[in-house]
Amino acid sequence: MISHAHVILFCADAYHFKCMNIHKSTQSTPNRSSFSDKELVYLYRREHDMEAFKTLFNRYESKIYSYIYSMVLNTETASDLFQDTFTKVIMKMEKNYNEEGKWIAWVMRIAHNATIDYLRRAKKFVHISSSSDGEENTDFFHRVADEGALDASQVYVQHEDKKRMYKHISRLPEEQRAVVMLRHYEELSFKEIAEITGVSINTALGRMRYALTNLRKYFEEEQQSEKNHAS
Amino acid sequence: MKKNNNQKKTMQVNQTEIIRFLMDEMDPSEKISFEKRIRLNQDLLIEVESLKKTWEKTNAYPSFESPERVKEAIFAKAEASITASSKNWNWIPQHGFKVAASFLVMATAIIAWNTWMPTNQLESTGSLNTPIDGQQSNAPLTTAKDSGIGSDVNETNNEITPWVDHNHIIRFAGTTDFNLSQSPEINSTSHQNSKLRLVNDQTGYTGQSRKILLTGNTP
Repeated sequence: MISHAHVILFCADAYHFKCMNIHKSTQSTPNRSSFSDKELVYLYRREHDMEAFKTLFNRYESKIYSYIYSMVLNTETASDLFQDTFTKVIMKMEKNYNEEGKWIAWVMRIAHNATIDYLRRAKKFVHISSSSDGEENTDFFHRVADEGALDASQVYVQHEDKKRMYKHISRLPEEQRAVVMLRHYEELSFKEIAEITGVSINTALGRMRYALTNLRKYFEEEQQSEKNHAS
Repeated sequence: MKKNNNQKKTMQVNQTEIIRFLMDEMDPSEKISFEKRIRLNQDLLIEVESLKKTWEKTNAYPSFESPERVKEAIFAKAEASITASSKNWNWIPQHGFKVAASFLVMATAIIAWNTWMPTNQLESTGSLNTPIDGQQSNAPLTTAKDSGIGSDVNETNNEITPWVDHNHIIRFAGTTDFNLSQSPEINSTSHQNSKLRLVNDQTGYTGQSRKILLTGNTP
């Protein structure tokens, strides 16, 4: 256990003094879900509070994993990349993480870089669609996060919608898919998306525009084929 | 051709603007002006509505959960990282006070050294000047151009030490209660150069050691 004298050594500015108060409050109340990302990061880094890390992880785990999964479309690869991402996050948080920016944007950049590196490497050997789980994959529903109790018909309709959307988004080019997923899961601004993907804001906006146009086209094609089947 | 390019450019701007509008990335004034444009342009309205519906459909896109074993592995890594960094910093609470105390002693020593140094330096400077003063006080008074810079420190000496300033005034230090008639130095100097005479008015010089002035200038 680190003494208060030790904490005082690190608390140089107002923000850290604020965090010191948080430190005091964590000793009395173990619930950290009400804390902001910055506060949780501080507690983990400076106070070595494992509960703070778990809270932060649980807050974004699903979104980060979903983003990686939607990019690589393979459970094993997504799990590996997800683990690699957090290994880097833990290592960098210990050493040189700058607490000024948004933590999630920083983590998403690491996740995005890991994913893009993988996709580039994978392209050299096999086409990504051949290694993806695809819509035929039987464990699709098992991986989908549980969204509360619904009756059987509602669950079926919802899963059909999800499956359809998953199929269409999987068809999008990687760079368009990345922008859509970063916006969809993380609700990042286009400035942040542009920084993560290493393009200008206008390019990011343009990619979103093309992604939406393509999705619209896929839905229209699907409707058309359903009509044809019915007739 | 040029017209086509302009149309393309306008369309491109619109496309980016549509996304900014849909994603709520416009500032309020831009939003109001874009809404006006939508009301005036039916095609733009259709395009915006269509893309809005497509974007809303993406809400159905599922979230996925990472496998439990991956979560556990990540938590284990985080714990291991904490343990490793705690080991690195464990010496602080144990030896922290010793380190702090040694820093304090060092800082005190540095401050003491800095405060002691100037006086020490002054003393050493003074000791260097003493022999020079001694030499000058023993030296005979020759010309009016000679200057004795260190002579004014001779207040402690009982001997009379003359020196000449830039106004050609010969000054004698340590002569607070001086009897002119009894001073052989002044008398001899006055005889050697008849132009020299005693000045009682010490213009600009009121130092305690500068009581008697002889000058070659006529008032």
